[in-house]
Amino acid sequence: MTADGGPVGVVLGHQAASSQSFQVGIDEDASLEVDDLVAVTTPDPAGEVTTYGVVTEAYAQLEGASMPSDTQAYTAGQMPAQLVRTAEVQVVRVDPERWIAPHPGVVARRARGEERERALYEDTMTRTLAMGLGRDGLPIRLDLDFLDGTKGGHVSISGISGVATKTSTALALVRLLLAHPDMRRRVRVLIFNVKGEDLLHIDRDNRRYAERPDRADLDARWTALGLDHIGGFPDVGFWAPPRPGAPGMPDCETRLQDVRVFGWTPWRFVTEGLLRFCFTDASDMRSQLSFVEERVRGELLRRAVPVDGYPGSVGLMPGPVPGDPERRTARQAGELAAGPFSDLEGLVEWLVELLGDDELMRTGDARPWVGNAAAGTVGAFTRRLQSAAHRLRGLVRSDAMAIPRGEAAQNEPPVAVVHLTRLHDFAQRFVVGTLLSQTFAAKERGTRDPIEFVVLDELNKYAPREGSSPIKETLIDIAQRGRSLGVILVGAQQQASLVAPEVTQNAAVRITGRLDPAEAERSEYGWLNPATRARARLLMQGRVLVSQPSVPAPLAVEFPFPPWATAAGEVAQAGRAQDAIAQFG
Amino acid sequence: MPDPSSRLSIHVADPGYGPGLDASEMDAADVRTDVEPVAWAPLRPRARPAGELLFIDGAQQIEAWLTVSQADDPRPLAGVAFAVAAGAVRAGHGDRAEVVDLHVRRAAICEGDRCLHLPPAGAFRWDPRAGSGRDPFALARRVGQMRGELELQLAERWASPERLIVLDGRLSFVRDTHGPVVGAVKSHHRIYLEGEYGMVVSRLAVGERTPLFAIGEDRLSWYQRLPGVGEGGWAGILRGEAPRALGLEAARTLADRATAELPRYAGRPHRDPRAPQNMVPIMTLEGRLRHRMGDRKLALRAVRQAAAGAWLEDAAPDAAPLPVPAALTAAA
Repeated sequence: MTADGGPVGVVLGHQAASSQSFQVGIDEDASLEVDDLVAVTTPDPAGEVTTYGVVTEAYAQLEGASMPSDTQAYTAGQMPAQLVRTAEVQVVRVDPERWIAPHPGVVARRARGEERERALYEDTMTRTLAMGLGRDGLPIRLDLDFLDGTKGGHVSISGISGVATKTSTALALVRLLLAHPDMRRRVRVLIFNVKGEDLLHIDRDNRRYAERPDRADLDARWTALGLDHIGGFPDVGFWAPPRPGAPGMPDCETRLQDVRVFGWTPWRFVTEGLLRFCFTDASDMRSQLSFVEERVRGELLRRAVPVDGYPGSVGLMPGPVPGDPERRTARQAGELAAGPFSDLEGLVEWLVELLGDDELMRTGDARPWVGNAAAGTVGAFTRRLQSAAHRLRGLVRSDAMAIPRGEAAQNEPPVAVVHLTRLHDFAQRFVVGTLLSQTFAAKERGTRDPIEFVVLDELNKYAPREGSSPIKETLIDIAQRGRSLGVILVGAQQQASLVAPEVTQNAAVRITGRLDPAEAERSEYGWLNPATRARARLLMQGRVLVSQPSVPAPLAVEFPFPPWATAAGEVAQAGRAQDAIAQFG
Repeated sequence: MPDPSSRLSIHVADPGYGPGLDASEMDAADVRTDVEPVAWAPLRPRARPAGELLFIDGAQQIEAWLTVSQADDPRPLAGVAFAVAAGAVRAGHGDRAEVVDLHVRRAAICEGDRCLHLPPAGAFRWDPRAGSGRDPFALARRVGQMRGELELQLAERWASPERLIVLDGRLSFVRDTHGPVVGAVKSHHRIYLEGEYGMVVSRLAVGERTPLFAIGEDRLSWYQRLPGVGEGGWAGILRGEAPRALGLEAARTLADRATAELPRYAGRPHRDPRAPQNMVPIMTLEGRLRHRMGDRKLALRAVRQAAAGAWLEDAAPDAAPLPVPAALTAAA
């Protein structure tokens, strides 16, 4: 074992040192700050033990001053006192594993080189991903086994908005994964853009990055993290919903080039049962609405057939059609009881008319569609259906192109950014629910590789602590079974306490940026010790605390300023020119 | 309602530190008031740039009283194990006051000519010393003497023409020193100035002193007032001493410097029961010395342990002063 770290002080004995924590008196010419790693070797009678720890708090005190005014007397040169600087150290590892207290008086040194690796348990990790920089400017590594699902998976990121924590952290993580020699070919990423159009430019170089005076230093830091190409994400597919009134155009403003319009055909809407994602409100699940929705969804599926000459459209037969819906033969339009429907509005209109027919309800012919549901419930269902059709306008139409999932995505760029901002909250839920369920279903059918990383912000909206919804069930399913199937959830939220515990508790990697003080006190952050919990209220931009199963203490990690554009205003000139050409020819 | 002009001025002292005023003063030397050729009135030294000051103080701690019985002698010998410490605070030379020198010595002595050797126990080591008389107070006097020796060594080491050395207490051991040393006496066991001379003391303002007066053959002395407890009577009065061997002019200079510069270091009543005469650097230094002498209970335990292996030796390693390492220790 090499001990190339310089001495920084001695273990103090005015209070007992313990096997869990101890204090270091800092030498006059040395400096020790919070998050620094230290090592001390104790000559225990039963054999030398090296204790590794991380500084959790630093103190400065005037020894000899016992009253507040003493300091003023000291400053005035009247009272002699000794400036004493100490550091509180939380033990992260003892080597060999004999939990003894370091002896007071033993020299504490900075953990560097091999000792740093041991302090951070890097010697126990077989595959690592450098996920950010520690306080010493060197990479902090994540155990890949706990990220890609081998031993654990899922990432939970918490933090208040506006201090570049959640999205930046998720993006940096994804970017570094895509640069990782072993992982880059095994990773697919689905990112939802829920704020502005920020993520629609991540494939462009960041102008502000290039203008930074510390550019060379930033380059060096990203290189240290394993980034081979410093700039925008190399290969990204952008998806936006159709523009109202112009379904062929993407509904976004700052970028038109290379943005594809997504949607689902009525045929897929029916055969994949996407109707359930129109009833995602927690209140829907409590009422009878979900029962009616289930009946209607089932009945649509039983009668659905493709229609000859109407690709993507769905037709409905007078009665159930046997066999797997995927293998049903296309019918002529004339054979149909209803349709062909080329968009959701038509289908909904037909359904509303059917369910609103009092005669049909009275004779019991509507029984297959609504069971014994009361007329009021059916009425509520149709009203909800109508508003859904209105809000999903354009997303379900026969010429729509679905975002490829599973095997269909083989030739797609590894990263897909789905732009949701401009959609109504209702439609956002529909899209997220549909894509999550499609992703998960594709994995259930297919192979574990490539591993699908799903980056989803505002998890509290999709998997709230209270209530239930189809999306929440899908997310819990992903959280519980996803890692073995190859779906890894990178979830972000302002407050983990508002997210379903099944989702947050299954995350192997927990990250937090600056937290609201009240939020930081909640039990969801039990993985933070009191000192880091206090720190979490003060974290600066780009700084996060990371906990991973392989390391028993949260570590402070910093992400350098991103070289990819994170807003339209950051796009480098070359990128803007391309946009202008695309827009104006 | 009493007449305010006849209001009394009362100096209040903490009883924990002995009587503030005691007529049974042992110092019975003659006092002469005609040494400084000035009129008997408060003197205000003219302002001059503050120079460097060095405060020196010592402390002692009796750690065990011993009774040494020998197989061949029916009469047991009294002995003592103790620690003495002395330190120096440098102030006024820059921004901050600092402890620049601090020494702790442990020794064991017993009555008679023979040295008592105690083997080291833990971190405790005692120098064997001889030379205590056989009267009941001799041991205690010897302890005080060793503390004085340590203080004196520091005073000699730090002596420098520009530096005013302020010793805590009377100049008992350094009356022959030629360096710029003054003693700062807190308590007034004996009132040296009587009658109209004494009235001048009551009239002193902060930053003023009485003219010099001689005590016996070897000391010149003055009274001065420190701030913080009012300006009446004997409140805040400090008595300074300088060796007469320096000569009148040098003594006047030292008295003037002390009068001008010591008020800045006056103790504050809320902080120190002996304020203002116990000056802040001295108070802090004393606390530090007591702390550095170590835990008395721990010392007693060590003496008990060492006593099992103790022996008396005839060859007295003479009563040389307690050794002080040549290298100066920085702030403790």
